[in-house]
Amino acid sequence: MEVEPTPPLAAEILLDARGLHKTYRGGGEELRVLRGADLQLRKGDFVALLGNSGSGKSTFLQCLGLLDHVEEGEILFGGREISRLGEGDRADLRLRSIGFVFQFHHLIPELTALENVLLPSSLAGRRDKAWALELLRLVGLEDKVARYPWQLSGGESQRVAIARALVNRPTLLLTDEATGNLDRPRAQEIVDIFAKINQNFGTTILSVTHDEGLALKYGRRLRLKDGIVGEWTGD
Amino acid sequence: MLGVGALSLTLSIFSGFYRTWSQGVADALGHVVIDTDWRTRAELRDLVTHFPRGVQRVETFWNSQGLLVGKDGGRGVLIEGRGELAAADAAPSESTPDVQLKLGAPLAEYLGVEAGGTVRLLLPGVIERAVEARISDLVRYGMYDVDSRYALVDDASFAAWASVHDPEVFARRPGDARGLRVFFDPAVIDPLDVEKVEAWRTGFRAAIQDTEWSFETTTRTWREQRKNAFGGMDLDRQLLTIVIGLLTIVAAFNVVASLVVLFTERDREMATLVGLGLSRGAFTLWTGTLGLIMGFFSSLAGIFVGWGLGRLLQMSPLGALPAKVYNVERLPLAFVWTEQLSILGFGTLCAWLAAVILGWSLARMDILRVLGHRG
Repeated sequence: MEVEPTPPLAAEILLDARGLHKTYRGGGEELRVLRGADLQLRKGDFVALLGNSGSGKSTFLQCLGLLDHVEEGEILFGGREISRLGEGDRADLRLRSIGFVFQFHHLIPELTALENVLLPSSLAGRRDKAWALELLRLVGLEDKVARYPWQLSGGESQRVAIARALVNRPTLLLTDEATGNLDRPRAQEIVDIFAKINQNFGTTILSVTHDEGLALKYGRRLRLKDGIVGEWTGD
Repeated sequence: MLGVGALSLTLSIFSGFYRTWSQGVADALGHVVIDTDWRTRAELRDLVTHFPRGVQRVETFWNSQGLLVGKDGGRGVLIEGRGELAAADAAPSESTPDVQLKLGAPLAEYLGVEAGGTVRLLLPGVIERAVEARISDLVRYGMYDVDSRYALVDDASFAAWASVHDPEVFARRPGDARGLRVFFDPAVIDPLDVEKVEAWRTGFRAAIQDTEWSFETTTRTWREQRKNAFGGMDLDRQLLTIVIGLLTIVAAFNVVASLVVLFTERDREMATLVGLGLSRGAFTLWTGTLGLIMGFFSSLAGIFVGWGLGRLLQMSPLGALPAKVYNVERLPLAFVWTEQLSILGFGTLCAWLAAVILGWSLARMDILRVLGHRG
């Protein structure tokens, strides 16, 4: 699949993370994971975030996705500071504006693929079955909507998780090693789906990956090293 | 469920006792008793003119201790002369009628006598002599204390007998009585409704207070006639309600224990939902709703269990009670719907509260740790 170029610099900034700090403490030791990380994402960006294992990529993404808290810095989302929001507002943003895909799909085993996709829209009180079916078609699972997670392969389950992350039409999709458990062809399929989503819906996508080959499919590549985000230079 | 069942059963047994005892006492001894010293019927009739509405029947009474002797034995009893207030004062009789009396069935059984038979009545107080009395009827008020200790003498027949056999006494007190037993019309005043009976008594006291009354009266409701028994029952009931209520709270927290097990097994799904954007409030609402549903249905089931267990107990040998101790022969049960509804509400509330507390604590879970994304 051909990847669209990223939008011009003048495009509206969707996410602006400034000087994020995060330290893990335990056993009398401190691990400074983020040391003033900055990131700007424009609407429609398609960005890969690379980095070594333990570099703090997932932590950075979880902070941006409001699944974790930063100790310092601020995160502006659509111009609004969101890092200090209360739990209710954070949950509401996660539900309506920020989609998140983990390395593991975390589907509810008792629900079919369609029901899993519909879950966030049910939580948001705007259940839209036609849209959920459209998303399942987009990820190539239109013939498996009634299947349960245990009847799906790892790649198929991950595609259901992607559809679920998109069902409330988020403006930002964060994916954390979403292809990490998949073989190469399945992983490429997933990245192609991300590209399609970015292309079709204009959804801003930030994907954490350690796979440089897959990262090449993204419009922009960044690297997290020593707690700081910088451009990936390929070395 | 079992806690609610125990509470339901306990309260229905207490209600059963309360209802049976109060019905027995009220039926036998009057809904309200007005005590005075010996008075003529005319004076007592004057008293009745001050009664608030709602009275169906008024009986005069006098009482004395006595000894009844039947063919199987004798027993010291309370002799109570009962008469119609409307009747005219007794006139000397020309014939020599039998003294008629009614006996409680257990007393008659003890004495070995039946309706239509006779017993020997020894009166040390009112009339110091022995009387051969005919049993006109056997009664059963359902209160062993009354049924086994009271002999109700027909006052008219006694007066007629006395006019012949003891004219001196008769002349001194022709048809006198020591007070009145008042019975309400159930269509106007529910006799077992303590507040309404109290209100009637208050109205009566107020009415006679405004008059220049020539003699003292005291008024007792049926409940006050067995004050100790009902007071003791109330205390027992309150204590047991508290104890079993606490057990029900513990039982409600068992509902939470079930939810904890459920949520512990499903913590990843819970964390996924929270990660997807289920807020703490919504999560708490969800667990609260689960607790409410579980609490409601388990409490409802508990009430059915209590009801079923009660019926089983009644039918089983355990349902047969020693009347000398408990005043009734069978375990009484009364399922008062307001009481059972309160238990249902209580059980449901406990489970709901417990589930809300649990939900609130669970909503604070570290979702990344639960989902395995944090070490």
